[in-house]
Amino acid sequence: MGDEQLRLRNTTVHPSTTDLVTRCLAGNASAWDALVQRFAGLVHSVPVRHGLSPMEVDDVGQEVFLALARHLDRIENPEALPAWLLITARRLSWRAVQKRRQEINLVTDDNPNTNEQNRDSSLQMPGMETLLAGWQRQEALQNGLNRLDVKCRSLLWMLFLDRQEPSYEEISAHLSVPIGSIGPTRTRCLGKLRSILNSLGFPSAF
Amino acid sequence: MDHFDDVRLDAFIFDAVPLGAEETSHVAECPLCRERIAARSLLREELNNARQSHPTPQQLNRYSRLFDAVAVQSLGQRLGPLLATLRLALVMDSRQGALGLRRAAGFGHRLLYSSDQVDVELLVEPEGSTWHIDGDVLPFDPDTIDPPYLVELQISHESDSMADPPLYAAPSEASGRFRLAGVLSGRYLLSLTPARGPVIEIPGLEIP
Repeated sequence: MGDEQLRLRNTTVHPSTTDLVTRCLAGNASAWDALVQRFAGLVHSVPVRHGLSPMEVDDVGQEVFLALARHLDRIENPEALPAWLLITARRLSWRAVQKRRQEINLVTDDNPNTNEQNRDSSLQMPGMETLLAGWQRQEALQNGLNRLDVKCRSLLWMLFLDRQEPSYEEISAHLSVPIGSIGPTRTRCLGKLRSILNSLGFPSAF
Repeated sequence: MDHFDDVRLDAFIFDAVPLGAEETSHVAECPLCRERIAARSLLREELNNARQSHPTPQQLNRYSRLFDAVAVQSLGQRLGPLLATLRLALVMDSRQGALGLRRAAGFGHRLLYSSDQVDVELLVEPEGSTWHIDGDVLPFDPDTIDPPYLVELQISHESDSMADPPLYAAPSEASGRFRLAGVLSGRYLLSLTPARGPVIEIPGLEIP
C-alpha cells in the first residue's frame, strides 16, 4: 500500500477539524454537532461497505460517536481524526459481522437445511485499502455535492440520495421540471459535479 | 458508430436502459467507452453507498446528545466497557539468552505478551527481506474474549490515541491463530479486536 493511500486527506473545510475538536474540549456543544454533521455519513459508509443492515449501521455509528466523545480529551492530533474514526468504525463493523455470523451459525445449527451461504451473502470484510479509497470517494462526493448550485444539488439529492427513492413523477412535481428534462439535466449536473471534484483535487475519483 | 453521448451513458448506468447490439459491439472495441462506463458505475456505487450512509435527523440528534451525556460523566465513568482496551506487556523474548545476551539478528524469535486476562504469543520469522508474524491469542477465560480477531498492525506513535490506518491487517482463524506476512522492519502497535471483549493492544512491537 502506498504511503499516500494510508493517509486520509483532511479536505479544506471551515472550521477545521482541529478548531472543532478544540472547541468541543472547551465544552462547546455546537462544535460537537458540527463534528457529527461532518463525519456521520462517512462513519456510516464503513458498516454499509460491510453489508450491514440499517439497524446495524446505526449501532456502529452510535458506538463510534460514543467512543469519540469518550476519547476526545485524549486526542493529541485532531487532524488524524478521520483515520481514527475509520479504524474505530471498521473494528465495530468487524464485531457486528462476527455477531451476525454467530447468529447465523446458531440458526443453521438448529436448522441444518438452512442455506448459510445465501443468508450470509450480504456480509463483506473489505480490506483497509478499499475502505480508505471508499472513504475518500465519499468525502469527495460530500464536498462536491455541497458546492453544487441549488438546482443541481436538489435534483441529484432526490435522484440518488433520498432514502424514499422518489419516482421521476414525484421529482418532476417537487422541482417543477418536466419529466423529459430530468435525464439531460441529471447529465449536466453530474458533469458539474465531476468538474468540481477535479477542481478539489479528486481527478480520478469517478 | 459514434461514441456514446453522456445522456445515453447515464441512462445505461443510472436507469439500466440496456445497450443495443450495435452499442454492445461498440463498447467491446472502445477502451474509452469502457473507461467512462467504469467511472460511472463507480459513481453509481458510491451514490448508493451515500444514500445508505446518509444520517437521518434522528440519528444526528442522538449522536449530538452523546456529547452532553459523556461531558457530565466523571473520568472514571468514562472508561466503560465499550471499546475498552487491554494493554499487554512483554514477559518473554526468546532472543534473550539465559545471561540476557541477544542472539544474532536474522533468526526467528518468539515473544510472549501478557495481561491479567490474556496471553498473546508471537513467532516472528524472516521471509526474504521482510518478516511474517504468526500469532496465537490465549484468553484465560474464554467467556470474556471471543475469537475471531481483526488483527491490525499500525505504526507506533508516542501517543496511540490517534493512529494511522493499519499497514497490515488480517482476520484470525476461529481458533484465534493469525498470520501477518510481508511485514517490514519497524516499531508497531499490534491491535486485536475480538468478536466480543476488549481490544487487545501490544504497543511498541519491534520487528527487527
